[in-house]
Amino acid sequence: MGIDPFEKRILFVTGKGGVGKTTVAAALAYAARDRGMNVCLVEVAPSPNMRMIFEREIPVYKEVEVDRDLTVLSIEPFRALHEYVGLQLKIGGAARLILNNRLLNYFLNTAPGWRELITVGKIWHLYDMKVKWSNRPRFDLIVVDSPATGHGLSFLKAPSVFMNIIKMGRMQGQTDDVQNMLTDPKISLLNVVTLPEEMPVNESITLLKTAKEELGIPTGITFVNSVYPPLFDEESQASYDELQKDGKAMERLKEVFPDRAKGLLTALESRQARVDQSEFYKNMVLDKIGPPIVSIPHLFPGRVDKEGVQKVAEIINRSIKEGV
Amino acid sequence: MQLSDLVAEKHILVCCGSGGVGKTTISASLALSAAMAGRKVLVCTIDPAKRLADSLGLKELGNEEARIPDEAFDKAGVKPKGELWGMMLDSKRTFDDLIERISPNEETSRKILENGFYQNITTALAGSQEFSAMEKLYELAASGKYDLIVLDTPPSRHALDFLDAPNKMTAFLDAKVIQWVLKPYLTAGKMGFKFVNRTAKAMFSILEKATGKETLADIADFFLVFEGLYDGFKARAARVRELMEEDGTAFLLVTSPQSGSLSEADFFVERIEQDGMALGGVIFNRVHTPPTDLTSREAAALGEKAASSLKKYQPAVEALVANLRLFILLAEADKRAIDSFLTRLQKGVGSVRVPYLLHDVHDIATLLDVASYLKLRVLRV
Repeated sequence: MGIDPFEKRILFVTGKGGVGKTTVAAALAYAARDRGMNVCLVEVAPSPNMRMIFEREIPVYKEVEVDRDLTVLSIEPFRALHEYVGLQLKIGGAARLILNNRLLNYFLNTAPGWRELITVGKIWHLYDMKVKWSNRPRFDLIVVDSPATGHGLSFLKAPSVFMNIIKMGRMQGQTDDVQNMLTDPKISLLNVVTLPEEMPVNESITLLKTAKEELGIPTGITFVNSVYPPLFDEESQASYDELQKDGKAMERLKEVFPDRAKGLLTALESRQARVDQSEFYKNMVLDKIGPPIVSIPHLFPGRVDKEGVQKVAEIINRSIKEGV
Repeated sequence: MQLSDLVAEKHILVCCGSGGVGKTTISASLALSAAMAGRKVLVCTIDPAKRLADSLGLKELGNEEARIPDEAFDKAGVKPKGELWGMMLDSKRTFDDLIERISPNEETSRKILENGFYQNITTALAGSQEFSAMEKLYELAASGKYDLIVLDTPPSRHALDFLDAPNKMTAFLDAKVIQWVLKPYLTAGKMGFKFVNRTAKAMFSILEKATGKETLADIADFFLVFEGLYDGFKARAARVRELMEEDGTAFLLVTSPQSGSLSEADFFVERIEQDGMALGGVIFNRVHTPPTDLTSREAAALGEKAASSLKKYQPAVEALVANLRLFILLAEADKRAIDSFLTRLQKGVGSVRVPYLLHDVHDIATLLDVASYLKLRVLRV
């Protein structure tokens, strides 16, 4: 594989709603952790899935070590802004005074866009943090579970939008830093998660195109999630071929199941159709987006849990080792 | 009320739901079945799948409505008694049109349309798409051209974003508050900070340091011009809001049986009831249907029986049975999730389940298939 995601510092994981973004983000975090890295998994909006995976409440804006060398942080824009202004003014009290100003609060409650900007700003801050008394980064890797909605990448777009609005001043320099972080191929990598279905695949194509052409954000791996693997392996396929030729055995099978095994055969048909669909859209991803691609098999139950995530982490590590 | 009644009687149906649940497909099917039954229907969509848009001829529509051509129906072998129209929403254009409509003269609208701050809030920032969807809906409803408009809402992370958009946008553009904030700044530019109160002075100097003078000037310019338009803007947003609460309007919630999508749905239902709007029904999309009446345990027991009497074909039988169990489990999980959601739903709100389809919905024929699952009787002529 041309890209080793674990050589970067920030992995953004994005995709349409319901494709398994959080699962893949958490799995990437585990995969990196298992390679000995200290990882921070960031969510930019609280998701029930994150809570389901770690089977615990995740408080807002508080770093939580959910596992060895794995920290989760749920970014909340207002809290991030408080922290930012505090850092800028170097005095907590003054920051509170200003932020409690009615006018400013009016602005913050209504103005669009700043939430996205401050969120990316906080990610920059995490990236820039050092271990106390040393020059070592606090986190080796930051994995961001990032929403893709409406305009697709509104939150990754925020710095460049604000660079247009903000023409000078201290904030402009900082916005510049953030934008440089996002566009540096040594630091950031935008990864997309999709299902093997028409809409998510098409949206991923558009999203990556926007990322490359408009935002200049380096793009990485496409994760095709919930791929149905073929039902039969070599042995069972041979066995099934034989079975089909053996009329008596087929009769026996149909006697055992009600409705002459209608359900059994319907399920087989459904499986086949899904395998075909998975294959078709995986090829479309290869064709339109290109490698590297990691496909993640459909895992049951649909409910995500830590065990499932660690399984996906193994798949990711294996794929990267084998070269995708 | 059944879904089929809503489609036959309402004037506006708003399809809401979190991203990736198939809102566009459901919206198009609802619109199609109403058109088949004789109504003049418009489906207003944001981001349809390319194949669906192509087959309906929606490709070059932009922000204008266009009638779905007869050829699209011919291919499916049907003829609608009414008319089906479609459009793709262009958020920026809708915003610009609105500014032009409420501006007293061309100069005012030009000043706003060319303002850098305005361009940024209408194109790049979150919430503008939701707002313009509602605005467009109002304009279309007011035109009186259609018996029914089906609105497919923008693919936001939260279904609720759509309901919040007009209020947020109105509050944001509130000239009075802004005046209070920026008037001193504008005056200060000319006369120095003498007459400005201390807090405002401190804030401006921080904002100026932080963002640069030009930024504030851009914003101030915008609000100065917009001030005269604000009342018109606000009145319009209020009418949009009223339209949402009218008897002729119903909200439909589209959700998948996945837990994430359902917990979003919970919030949405609660909120819509709080706001005094009508939840017309819930559509569960992409539901796994059981391949058989057997429970997964019964299937496993029968599987063992079959494997022992067909030892020779054990690998095949085991794979077949494991697969049967997988599909039973998927269906059971969906059913449990839906049943539990329905117990939380107010009585009298109808619901339908659309199965997970193995083919893409991309033309009139496949939309009609979906319509049949929505229990919409469609007369095929």
